[in-house]
Amino acid sequence: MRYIDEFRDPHLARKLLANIRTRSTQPVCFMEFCGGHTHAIFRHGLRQMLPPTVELRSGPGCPVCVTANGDLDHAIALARLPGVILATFGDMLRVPGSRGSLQTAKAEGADVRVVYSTLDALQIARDHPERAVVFLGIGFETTAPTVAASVLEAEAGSLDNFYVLSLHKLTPPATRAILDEGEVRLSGIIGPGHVTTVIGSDAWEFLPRDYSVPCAVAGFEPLDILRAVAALVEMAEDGQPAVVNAYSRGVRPEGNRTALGIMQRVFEVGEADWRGLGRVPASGLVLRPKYASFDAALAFPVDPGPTREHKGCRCGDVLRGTVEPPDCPLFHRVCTPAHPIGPCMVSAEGACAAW
Amino acid sequence: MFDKILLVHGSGGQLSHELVEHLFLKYFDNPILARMDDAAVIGETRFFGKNLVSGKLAFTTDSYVVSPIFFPGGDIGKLAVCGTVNDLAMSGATPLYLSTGFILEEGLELADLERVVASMAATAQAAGVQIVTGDTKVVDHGKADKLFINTAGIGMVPVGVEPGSDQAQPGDVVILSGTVGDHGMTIMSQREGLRFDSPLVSDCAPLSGLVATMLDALSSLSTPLSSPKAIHCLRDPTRGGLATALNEVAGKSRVGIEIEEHAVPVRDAVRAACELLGLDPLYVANEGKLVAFVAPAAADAVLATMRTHEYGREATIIGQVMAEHAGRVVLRTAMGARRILDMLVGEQLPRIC
Amino acid sequence: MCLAIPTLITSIEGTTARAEIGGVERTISLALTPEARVGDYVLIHTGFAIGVLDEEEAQETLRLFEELAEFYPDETETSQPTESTNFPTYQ
Repeated sequence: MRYIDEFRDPHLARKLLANIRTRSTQPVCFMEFCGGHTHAIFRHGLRQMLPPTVELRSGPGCPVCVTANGDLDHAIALARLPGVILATFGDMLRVPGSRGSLQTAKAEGADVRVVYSTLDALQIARDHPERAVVFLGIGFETTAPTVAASVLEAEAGSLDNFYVLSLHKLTPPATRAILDEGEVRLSGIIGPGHVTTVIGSDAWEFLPRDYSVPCAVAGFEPLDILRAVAALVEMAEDGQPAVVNAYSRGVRPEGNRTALGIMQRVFEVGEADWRGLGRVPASGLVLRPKYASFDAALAFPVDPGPTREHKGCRCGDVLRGTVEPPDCPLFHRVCTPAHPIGPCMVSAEGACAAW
Repeated sequence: MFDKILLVHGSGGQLSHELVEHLFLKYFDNPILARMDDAAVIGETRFFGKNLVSGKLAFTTDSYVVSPIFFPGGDIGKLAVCGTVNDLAMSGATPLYLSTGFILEEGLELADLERVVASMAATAQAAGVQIVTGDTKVVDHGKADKLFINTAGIGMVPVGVEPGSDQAQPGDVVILSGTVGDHGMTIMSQREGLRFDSPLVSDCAPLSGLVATMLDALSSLSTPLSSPKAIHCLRDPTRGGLATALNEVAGKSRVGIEIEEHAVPVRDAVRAACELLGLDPLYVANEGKLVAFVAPAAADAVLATMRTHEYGREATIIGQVMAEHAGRVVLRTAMGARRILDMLVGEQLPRIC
Repeated sequence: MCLAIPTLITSIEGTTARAEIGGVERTISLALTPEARVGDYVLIHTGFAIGVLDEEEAQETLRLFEELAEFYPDETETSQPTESTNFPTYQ
């Protein structure tokens, strides 16, 4: 597979590791913001290959994990409404809310359907004009433009039974929130490659500028990740924080203007509830008033019931990078992949599941 | 003749009999079934030159509810025969007789049912089994997804053949009969909501012939180290994929297993489809593959034999069994690092992250 | 987050295209990358192309890796660079 296999060359990986090992003299801690990186690092076994001086911590870059219980409860309540088809990406199906997951709701009769794309959800809406299709909008700046484009397509086709529950979140504000909390001393950030395809590497300049923290934007193949780690080691060793675009084949300084434009046409910035970070101002996306007719929250007022967090669940702390999965009292005792208590264990890229 | 299944077809009356006569008997044509007794009474005591009385009886059952019922490479009927035949074969048994129970949804197209039944007959013939008894019920429209099939099968395990999930031993060579992920990704690609076009084909196949070939080859070798007993374990990696099957053996045999990622054969199209949906081929279902745990002295002979068979042409060694990390399966990644390959929990779902 | 896979555009019709990888084809939307052309590789995320891959940059990156590979001789755990001051740089 072109653009994939070349970036999985084990021979070149060993060279990058040799470079990292040679250059790394002081202990450093880098945050891989993005859940996709957590997953890739686990899948290829990269953590074990790095020298002991380089520590990687997972951040809140898994849209599944950072979805607050209250928001998930809201989605589940919508799914339970008669006449509603809730379309969702597979990632969210098994995440436990306050009282069960979308999957348990499905077992109890709710019409919940897994889709690969919002385009499939649009098709379901066209096929079932008598039902309301609510799309559960999770994801960061990579996904939000695709949902925005779907809203525009629905508008253009006068589709009046398609709705979006927007739980989309923005990554730079979350990164700021973590650094502002100052709980973890970070020597660098591995920037999320595909989010940055959309927002552009310039969007991360605030890291070296306001926090003196270097950032290396990384792709998702092993060589991409290792290259980013090597660049961060170099910048940490030299004390020269900057933004390095280590995914130059997929990222430009200005990002994807078309995608950003579409996203901004349909959504505006609002506050959002992040598991682990609480309410973060200007960190989420809400549908603009012009598109209010597509807003599931407005079209279907529901009371999801009181929000309950499971006692002892430390997903929030894991997401902020302040603890590692084994530090959570529930890890592997009560909370296992078969019986997850919190989303970190459910998500394919949740830190706990990957550990 | 009607062109759709009606509730009355399941009531046991005239129309039920017509359905059996004109459809099931026509395709599953054999003397035992033709007697149409309440039970199939099997009087033979010798099969394929082997004495039934001195061997062990193997008995298994499975139900099939796959949707869509027709897919590239097979259909629910072929699956129903292969699945049960393969479960018997993995126990070292020669599969002999199958029963089949149908639960049909009112409104099912008769042409579709006929296609499924014809496929079952053809598959049974290829696998060397007879379908000797069956049942049909019809349920209201909406109470079954077109049709559900249950098959139960009996087979005979010859003396001296005793593979088992708890029999793997440190030093055993792990041999995989071919590419993984084909069946599961083929089904995925057909599902509403996913919609992609691919050259993917299910690998659904009866493996009794392959297993017989492997056991016979070992019997015919006269070295003291080679006998059918050298095959310690046979598993078909169906639901949950290769990783789950390996974990089951590691757990039951209380051994560790180490697999080389690069040694596991995966078709390009399967790899590509998995990348697109964020799935891992090691956890995707297979319906025509087996994993064999073989004593090292017999490994080369078994591998060479497998490669002579239609369903073992791409057979390859993928790893080995060890005493360390008992109960766990470890994957040595293409990068050279080691990581734990866990059991699959729940269903692998397409992801966006 | 954000599984996005490089695929080859094989045909375009309006704002949709056929994209191919490893013999698997899918219809995708070019709504976010109207500049994509047949023959381009695009990153596909949930059925949409989110960016066009830059072939030159890809080759440049691989060239950088090859350069680095020469700098570190084939050893196992204890690789030492041939010169201690002139490290290849990523910036």
